Amino acid sequence: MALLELKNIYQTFPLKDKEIVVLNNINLSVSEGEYVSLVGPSGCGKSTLLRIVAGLIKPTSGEVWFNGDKIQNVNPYTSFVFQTFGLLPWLDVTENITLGLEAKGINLKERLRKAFKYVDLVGLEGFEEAYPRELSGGMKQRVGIARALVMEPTLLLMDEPFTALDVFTAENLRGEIIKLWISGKLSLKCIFMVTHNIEEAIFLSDRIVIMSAHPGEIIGDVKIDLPRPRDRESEDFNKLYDKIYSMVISSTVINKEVKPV
Amino acid sequence: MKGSNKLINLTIQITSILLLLGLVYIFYKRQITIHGYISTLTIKQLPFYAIRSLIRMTSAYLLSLFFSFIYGFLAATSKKREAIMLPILDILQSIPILGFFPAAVYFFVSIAPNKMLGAEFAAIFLIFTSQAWNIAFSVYESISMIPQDVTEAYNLFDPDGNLKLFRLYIPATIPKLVYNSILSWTNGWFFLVASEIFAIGTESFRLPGIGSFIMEAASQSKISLMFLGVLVLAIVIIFLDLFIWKPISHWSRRFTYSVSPGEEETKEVWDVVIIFWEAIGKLLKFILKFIQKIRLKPVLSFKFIKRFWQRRISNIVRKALLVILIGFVLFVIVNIAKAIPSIILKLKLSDFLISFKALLYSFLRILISYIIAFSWTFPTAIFLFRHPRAARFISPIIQILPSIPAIAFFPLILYFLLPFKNGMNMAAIIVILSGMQWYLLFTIYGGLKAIPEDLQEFTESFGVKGMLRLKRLLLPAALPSIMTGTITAVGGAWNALVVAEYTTLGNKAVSVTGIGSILNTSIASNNQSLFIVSLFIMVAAVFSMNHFVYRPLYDKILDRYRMES
Repeated sequence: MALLELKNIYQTFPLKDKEIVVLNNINLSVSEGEYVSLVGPSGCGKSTLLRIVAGLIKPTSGEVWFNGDKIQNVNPYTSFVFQTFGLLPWLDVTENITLGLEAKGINLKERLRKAFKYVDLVGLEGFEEAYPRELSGGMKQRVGIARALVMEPTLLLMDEPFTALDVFTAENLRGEIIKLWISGKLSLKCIFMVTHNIEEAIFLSDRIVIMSAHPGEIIGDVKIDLPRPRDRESEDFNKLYDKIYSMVISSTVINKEVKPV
Repeated sequence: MKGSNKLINLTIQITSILLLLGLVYIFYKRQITIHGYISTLTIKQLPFYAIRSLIRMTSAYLLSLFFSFIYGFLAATSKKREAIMLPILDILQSIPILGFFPAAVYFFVSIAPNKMLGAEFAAIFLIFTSQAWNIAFSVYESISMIPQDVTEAYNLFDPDGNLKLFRLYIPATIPKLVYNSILSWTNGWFFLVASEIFAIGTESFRLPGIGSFIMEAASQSKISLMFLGVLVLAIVIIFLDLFIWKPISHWSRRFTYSVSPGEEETKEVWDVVIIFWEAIGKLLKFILKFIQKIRLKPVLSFKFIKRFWQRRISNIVRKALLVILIGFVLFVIVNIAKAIPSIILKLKLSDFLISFKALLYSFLRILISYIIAFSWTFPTAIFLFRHPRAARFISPIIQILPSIPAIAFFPLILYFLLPFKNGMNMAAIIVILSGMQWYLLFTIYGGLKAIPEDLQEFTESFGVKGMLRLKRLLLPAALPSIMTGTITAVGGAWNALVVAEYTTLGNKAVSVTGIGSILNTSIASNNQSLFIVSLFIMVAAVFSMNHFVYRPLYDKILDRYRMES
């Protein structure tokens, strides 16, 4: 059975008296155990789609089903990692991580116990009482990830989680994410990530969904069954890269040619 | 779309002005005798008077804080409310509120059980009106400008909004709230002193306070006491600034979204202050320990509030409040409608002529003050900008000077100038000027300092110097801040007029022709129609100048001369 199912998602936004179609007829089903990446040119609505899955945005029409339930509000089984971290500047690392637990009314002792576990897991030891502004970008994103994991979600949603980081930090963090994912230490059944970095998507995921822009539509769905750890220099890796790259490019080129008419 | 929005705004604003004027008219009461509450002056009274002033200030500030948070919060959290509440706030901020003060005094004195209490209420109300709008704006701005990723993250982790107020909204407002509170507090001192040295007719209405102490000393020709009063006022203001506002302002930085590296290193809080608060903290801990032994169970625990504030009850309260508000507005409208015939019957052309003439005189006074203020502050700001070392030396002084309300020197100025011909006129101009100049200097200097480094280096390396530099770099760069400074300074000047144009010294009334003195004398001689007409004309003049001259000009200037960040 599919863990997550999107049925006929259609989303428009008003822009200067006009309605523009951001997402058009999106149908997608994701099973347990899958690390899925959503790849596409900027403006194709992939971040919007991720927010629809989280329940932060209600689609203009269409349905999101999760584990056999129709999602109406914020989906309690999902957690979210933001591109720009989205940390509250007035809370320290521990307080940021445990915010969601606090809102649920979980007591301090239990909160600290869980915070300790995930601080350890993502490598934030010694920074428990630091404020976000005292941290580097990489550390901030570790807080973002710990904050998402502490809720013990079934589905982890990540919106370009490595884009705001420098190349070395991003690479480091990617490795750690995949290690955590494989280790089975987490409650996670599924990761759904948005990125525009094709290499990153191939390196991390089991499956890549490719979208086109204006309007956002799914134009491809590629399974990645390269053995882990994956070698970026290998021939198979490069073949997959070229294949997906040409799919993304073709969708943007076609659109440019169509536009003037 | 945009045009109709502007029209709606204008309608809301004009309606609220008319409602305010109607309110004043309805609550206009006659036959109230008011007294001064000050006996013969001695040095011993001074600490007591200073504390009275401080209590007045603090209660007004707390009231403002309470009101402003609720107002700003409500306006920022719903588009519908925002459309109505924001234009009203804009009006409340820009009209000269002191003009309403005589009516407010009469109103509060008539409803309070005790005349002195009524006068106290009026003074607190006046200070409140000088502080609240500014703070409400800051709350509104900070809540509506929370970055989207922070809001989204928050909503995701707390979908029911259980802790939203304490974890998101209140912390988000703190930096601007503190910054604007400091401005409001400074503003409040001006109004505090104004409310204390205020006179209605020949009856002086004076509450015990530091302002009235200074004024009274001047009228009794006790010069040393007068200087002492000014000194104590200055010490109190500087003390509060160093020991309370500076640490709070430093603390509030924790709540900003980002701090540029160089900024955090500036050391604002003195060591003495830190030691002082640490000592107080230890003392408090000791007391707390003592209290904990008694084991008081807090009645107002969070759960209690939460249970009380359930959806249904909050809905009932909300609806009840709305009904009360609408009822009140209807009451005002009905009463205005009833009063219209009698107002029209009473209206005399001569009242309008008198008011227009007074308005012209007042306007000239403000214009002269502004020209003097600008002609020295602009060159000074440029000098300070060009000579950073001098600026470093002077800036602590020019930071503190403006926080001492110019109006406190009014008695002093009067004392020395009144013997001369046109002395009152000069005194009025000096008071208005001294209210304007520091603010102008501050904002213009701030605007110059914000010129990006690369532009300065570029002009330097291309040999752009002297007048050309002034014309091509400094003046255009400072223009937006000159405009901001001008709008605020002139706004303050209209308020100062009401105090500066009419006062009593001893038992003698001193006044010059002007809208401010008309407001005073008309209410004192119970000339209701003249009072309303002059108030109307002043508010209408200030409003239309703001709306049809400054704002469009400001928008144009901002559009062209803003530095892109």
